[in-house]
Amino acid sequence: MGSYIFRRILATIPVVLFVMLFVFSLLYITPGDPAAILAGDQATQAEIEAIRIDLGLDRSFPVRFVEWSSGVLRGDFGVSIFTRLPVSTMIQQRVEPTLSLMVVTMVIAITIAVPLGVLAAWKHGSLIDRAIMLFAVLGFSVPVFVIGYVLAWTFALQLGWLPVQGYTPFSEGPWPWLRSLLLPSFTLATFYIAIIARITRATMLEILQQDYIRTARGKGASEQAVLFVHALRNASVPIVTVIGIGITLVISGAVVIESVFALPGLGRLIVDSILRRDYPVIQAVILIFSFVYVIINLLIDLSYTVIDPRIRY
Amino acid sequence: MIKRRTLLGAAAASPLLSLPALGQSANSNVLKYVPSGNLTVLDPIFTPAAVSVTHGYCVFDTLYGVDAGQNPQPQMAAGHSVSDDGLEWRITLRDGLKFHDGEPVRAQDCAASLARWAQRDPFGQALNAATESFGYVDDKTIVIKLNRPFGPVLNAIGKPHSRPAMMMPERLATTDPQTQITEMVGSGPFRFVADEYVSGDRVVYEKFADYIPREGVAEWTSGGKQVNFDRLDWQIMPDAATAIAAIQAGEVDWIGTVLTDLQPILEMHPDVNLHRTDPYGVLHVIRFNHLIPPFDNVEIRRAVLKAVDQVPFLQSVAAKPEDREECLALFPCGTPGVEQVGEGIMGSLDIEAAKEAVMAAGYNGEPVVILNPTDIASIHPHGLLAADLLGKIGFNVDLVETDWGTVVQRRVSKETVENGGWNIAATNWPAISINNPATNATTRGLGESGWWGWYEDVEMERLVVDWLGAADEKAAAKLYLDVQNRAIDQVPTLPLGLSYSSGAVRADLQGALQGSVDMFWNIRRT
Repeated sequence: MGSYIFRRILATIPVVLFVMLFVFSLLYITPGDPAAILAGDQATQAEIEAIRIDLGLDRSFPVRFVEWSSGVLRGDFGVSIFTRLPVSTMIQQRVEPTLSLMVVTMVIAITIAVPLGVLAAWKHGSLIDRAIMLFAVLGFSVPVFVIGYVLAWTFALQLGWLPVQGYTPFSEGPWPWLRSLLLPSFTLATFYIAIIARITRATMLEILQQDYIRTARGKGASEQAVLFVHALRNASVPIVTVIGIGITLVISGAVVIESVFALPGLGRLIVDSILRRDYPVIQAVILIFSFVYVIINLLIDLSYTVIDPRIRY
Repeated sequence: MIKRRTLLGAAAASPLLSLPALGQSANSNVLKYVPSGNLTVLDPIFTPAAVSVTHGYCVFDTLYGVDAGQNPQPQMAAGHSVSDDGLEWRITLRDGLKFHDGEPVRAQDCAASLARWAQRDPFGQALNAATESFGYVDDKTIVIKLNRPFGPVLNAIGKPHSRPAMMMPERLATTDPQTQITEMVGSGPFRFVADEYVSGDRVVYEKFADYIPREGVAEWTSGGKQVNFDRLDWQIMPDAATAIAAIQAGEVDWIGTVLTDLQPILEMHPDVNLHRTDPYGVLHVIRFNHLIPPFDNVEIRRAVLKAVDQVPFLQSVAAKPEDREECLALFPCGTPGVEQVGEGIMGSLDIEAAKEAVMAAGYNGEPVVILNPTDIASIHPHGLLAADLLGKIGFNVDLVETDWGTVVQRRVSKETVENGGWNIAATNWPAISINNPATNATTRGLGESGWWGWYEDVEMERLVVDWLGAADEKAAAKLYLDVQNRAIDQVPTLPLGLSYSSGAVRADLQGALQGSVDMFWNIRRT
């Protein structure tokens, strides 16, 4: 196991290096000039050129790539072309809201979706099953911003229970923090509730047909024990896989939710940076996202060995 | 299809909206403001962006401001004197001016600030060309030595928009003009709180305790800048509908811009008032590339000008009639000295006649590339309408729809269209930033060293120089009119008219000023 983990961590190095080269190359050939955006509408070509030189954007691809990648290896992501702030500072400022959104969203999604999926499978074909599946279809189909506005309309504007927008850091207290996250997290969670509930139901239906389930029931195990001890655990591998994928997908969902609820997270940072071609910020955020993807995938793979002792690496 | 704004509209229409919001801010000493865009560049001399100007007026002060009639008024200055030959201007500073780091404001700081500004700003560059030196005789007296007469010295250093001449400490003002200043130390009414600045999220200012406002009533960028809040919080909200919801819920006090289709929501709300800060609006234009065919041909440009009806262009960006105004001129109507010199010319040809005029002018059927940014709501419809119009009058149109970042890159290309060049691009200008011959980049004839499109016109430049050096107001007014007539005759740019936007302010706030940008003095909570 130890050597497997070591090998997997080693394997992340070429992946991250490839992402570095790929992202840098992609941005290099993408049309758009940050110097022209920065200079503004009145700027003459001479002014734009002067800014380009000042920012080092006139240098060749290899020179810029070597300089940037050597900086990254030293933990220095450079400075933003626009704000002139260190990219690491900008990312640091944005990590907490996105991480908080991810955690609360997944906690809500798992807490609601897994019991719903189990219930739907247990009551297969019943009204409850159909109602849960209807909810799942809605969760898949309705765009998150629509759900966001409906929830904001109800709980912020109508009832005044929760804020319309904004993020309160955890350092200001757990309740204010949670309060600022409830609406965006519930909004984002609807999609994941739908997907996790569906996969839980489908997997549980298959498991509930297995001989060992009949045996468990024959031994007189309670229905609760049959569902949650015998069936759910054996159904867990695909569920955990979907949850893992969901965690990575939350990052892309965060882009919309962070805009709708004005959360200062990484999703908004990368969209803003792409629109104004702030290359150092784009490169750093994508690099970090790719690293997070790799780590989450590793954790998912490792979790299989805990869930199913038959799996060994 | 359900749209986000429709949903928010439904929210606003609810009679229960007036229920107390538990999330609402209760701190009356904090003014919460939502700017129109994110503040990315802090240096207001480096960029003309409106949001940076708004920020600049918080942190920095100017030697002169303007009143509602756009007349220069002393601000940091106590007054000035001019030598008999008009070539030496001495400006005296008011007593007690301090920077946010506690240092006194000196003439040396102001001279260095003027010198830097004069290298970046178009009006400043015009002044710079007529200036021998920006200097000082003592800590309180700035000296501007001219090498030729330059009438609008105070108009230039008191300009209210697009790089106003803001005063900084000498150690910052000596920074290369092509490099941004990131340390925010000014002598304005608010102190920038660097520790709390998160680009894309929030900008925080504190009232500067040592700021000494002028006597008198605040008006535009002049008069007494009395600050009535201890703290000013900007909250960046990328989604316009979210900002609307936030002001309804009382979570913010002031929104810089409300999209025209969201205004009815706030008009119905009892606790929010719409507020039009800039009474002059923005002038929408279409810029020709003068370096390559077909718009290097003045007769073709004239034919297009005669075919343009501004109404659909204006309707596409301003829903309500009171938010738009036809302006048949290349200078903003409503600003002093501007006449509708295009009357009887613009829109004088119908489609068939315009088609004939285009052909008679020698159009050869070459492709006309229109750059159109899909992500800028105030420009995108103009690209579409231009494509439609030009297609109807016989042009072979190639509409390139792409994002703003790509447009601004391609727009500076001087190549042929086959090699990545372009022919037409729409944009808009805050009217107040182009309200005289020197600052109006859309009419200047500087050629390849000028604004993109590179219109070259020796006669126009002669008129501009003459206007800058005009002996008296009457001569200046005549020259200004000559410039306007020359512009409409040569058609360096197509004027599409003016539109006006509004922001929104909570009803318990009084005293929001008019100006080129939102300003946070004078306003108070009742």
